[in-house]
Amino acid sequence: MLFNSLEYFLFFPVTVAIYFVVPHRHRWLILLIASCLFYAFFSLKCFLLLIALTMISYICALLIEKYESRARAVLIAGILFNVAALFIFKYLNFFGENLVRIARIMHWNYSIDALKLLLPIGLSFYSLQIISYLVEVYTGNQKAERRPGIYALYVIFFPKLLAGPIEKPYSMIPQFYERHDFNYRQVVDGLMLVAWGIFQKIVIADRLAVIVNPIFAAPRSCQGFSFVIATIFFAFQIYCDFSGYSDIARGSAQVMGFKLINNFNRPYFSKSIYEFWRRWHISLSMWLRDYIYTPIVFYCRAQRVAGVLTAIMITFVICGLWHGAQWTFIIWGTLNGVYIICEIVISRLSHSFNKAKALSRSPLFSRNMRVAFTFSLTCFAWIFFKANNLKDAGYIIINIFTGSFAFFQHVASNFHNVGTGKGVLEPLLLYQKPGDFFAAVIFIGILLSVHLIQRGGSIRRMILKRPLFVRWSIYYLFIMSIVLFGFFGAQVPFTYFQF
Amino acid sequence: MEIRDKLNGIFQEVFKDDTIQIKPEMTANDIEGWDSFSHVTLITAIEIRFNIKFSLKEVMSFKSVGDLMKWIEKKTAI
Repeated sequence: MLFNSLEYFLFFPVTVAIYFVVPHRHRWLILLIASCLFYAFFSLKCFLLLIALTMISYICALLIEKYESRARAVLIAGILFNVAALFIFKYLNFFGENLVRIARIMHWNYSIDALKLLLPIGLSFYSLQIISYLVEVYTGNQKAERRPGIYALYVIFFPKLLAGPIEKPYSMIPQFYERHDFNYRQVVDGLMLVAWGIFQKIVIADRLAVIVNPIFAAPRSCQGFSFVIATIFFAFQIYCDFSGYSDIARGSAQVMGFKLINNFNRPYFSKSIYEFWRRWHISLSMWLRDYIYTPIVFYCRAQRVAGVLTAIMITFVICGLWHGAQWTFIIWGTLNGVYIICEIVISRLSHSFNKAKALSRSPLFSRNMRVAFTFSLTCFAWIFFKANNLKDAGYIIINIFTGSFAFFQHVASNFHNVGTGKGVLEPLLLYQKPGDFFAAVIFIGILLSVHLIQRGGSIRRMILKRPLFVRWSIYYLFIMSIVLFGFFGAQVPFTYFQF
Repeated sequence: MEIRDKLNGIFQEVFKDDTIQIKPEMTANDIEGWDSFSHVTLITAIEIRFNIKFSLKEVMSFKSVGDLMKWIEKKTAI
C-alpha cells in the first residue's frame, strides 16, 4: 500500500488506534500483523521473499553469535543470500544485456533471453538493513535478537519498509521493547510531519513532475534552455518526492512513539559535494560508509591517499548501481565520486599553497557562492539520473545552453507579454500552462523559505508553542493548501520505490 | 608513556589540533575533522606507533575513543 493512497489513510488510523488500545506486551504483534498486511497488499510472492530473507538472517545471526570460529563464513553466507536476491531481481537482465553487447562486439554468437522478473518493492532497502544487522552482530555491536517476532519487526516495520530509512539494529530493535504511551503532543508532532511530507509529495514534487517529465521523456522536441529549467526543477522534484516519503515514514512512526533517522538535512544548502552526501539520503550514505567504504579503505590503507580515492570511487559506483540497473545511474554515481575526489585534491593543494588559501577567503568563494556551485554540480549529475539513457543525457548536456540565445531572442520579441507569460513560456515548457510554471516557482520558494526558517530551529516546535487558535488556524490553512494545490490526477508513485 | 597520553598525541597530530584532550566516551562527533577520510589515517598512525595490527572486525567495532583504548591495551599486553 502506498503512503499517498486512500488505503493508507484508512489503514494507518485503525492500526494506531488498535496499537494504543492493546496492552504493551501484545503491541509488537499488532505492528507485525499490520506490517505484513501493509506489504502483502502489493504481492504475495514478494511477501514470501521478504519472509524467507528475514528468517534466514534471523538464523544466521544466532549462528554467528554461537559459533565464533565459523562466524565469518556464516556472515558471508548471510550476506550472499541478500546480494543474490538483489542480483537476480534487479541486475540479472542488465548484466545479461551487457554480456550480449560485448559478445556482439567480439563477433561471438551468444544470446540470453531477458527474464520477466518484477523487482519486489522495498527489496533494495530491506536487504541493506538485513546486511547491516548481520555485520553488527558479527562485529559485536549488536546482540543477535532471540525473539523472531521482534527481529521480523526490525525488518518489516511498515513505516520504513518500502524505502527506508535504512535503520541500524541498535537504534531500532530496543525501541520495540520500550513502552510507548499515547502522548498528544507527540501524535500532533508526528501528524504535522506526515502533513508536511504529503505537501512535499503531492503539492511540490507531483506538480514539478508535470513540467519535468515531458521534457526528459522527449528531449529532442525541446529547446536548449528548457533543459536548464527541467534540470533545476527535477533537483527539487526528486528531493521533495523522497524527502516527502521520508517525512511521512518518520511522522507515521512518531505517532506511535518510534524515532526513525532523519534522512535529509536541507542538502541543497551544502557547501561541497562531500557535505551534500552527509545531508542527502543520510541512512544510505551511512550504510555505504560503514559497509562498503570502510572495509575497502581498511584493506587499501597501505596505499594511503590512493587507497582512500579507490575506496571512494568504488563506493560511489556501487551507490549509483544501487539506484538502478542502468548505465545512467552508474555514471551519476561515478560523477559524484569524481566530484568528491576533486574536492579532496583541491583542499590538499590549497593547504600546500598559501596563495590558494588566500583565494579561498575571497568573496568569490564565499559561502553562498559555494552553495550555488555545489547545487550546479549536483544538478549536472541529476541529468544522468533522470535521463532515459546515456544518449538522451548526452543530447541534453550538449544542447543545454545552445538554445538559450534563441530563447532570449524569443522573450525579447514577446516582451510585451512577459507579465502574462503568454507566448513566452509555451515553447519552453512543451506547451504546459504558464500557470504551472509560476506555481512551481512559488512552491520551490516556499520549500526554500521553510529550510531557511529551519536554521533557527524546528518549525513544528515553534507552531506547538503558539496559542490554540493560532495553531489550529495554521493546521487548517495547511490542510486546505494541500487540498487546493495538490496534484490529484493519476496517483504518482514515489520515485525511490522503483530502486 | 601511558597508552592514553600516547594516543592523545596521535589524535593531536592527525587532527592537527594541540588542544585535543581525549576521553573514553568521546566519539567522532566530538572531534572536528574526525570523519570517514581521517579515520583511516588515525587507524594507520595507531598501528605504526603502537606496532600493532587491527583486523577489519575490530575496526568496525570502534564506536568511541574508549573502544580504541581497550583494543590497544589488549593488543599491547600480548
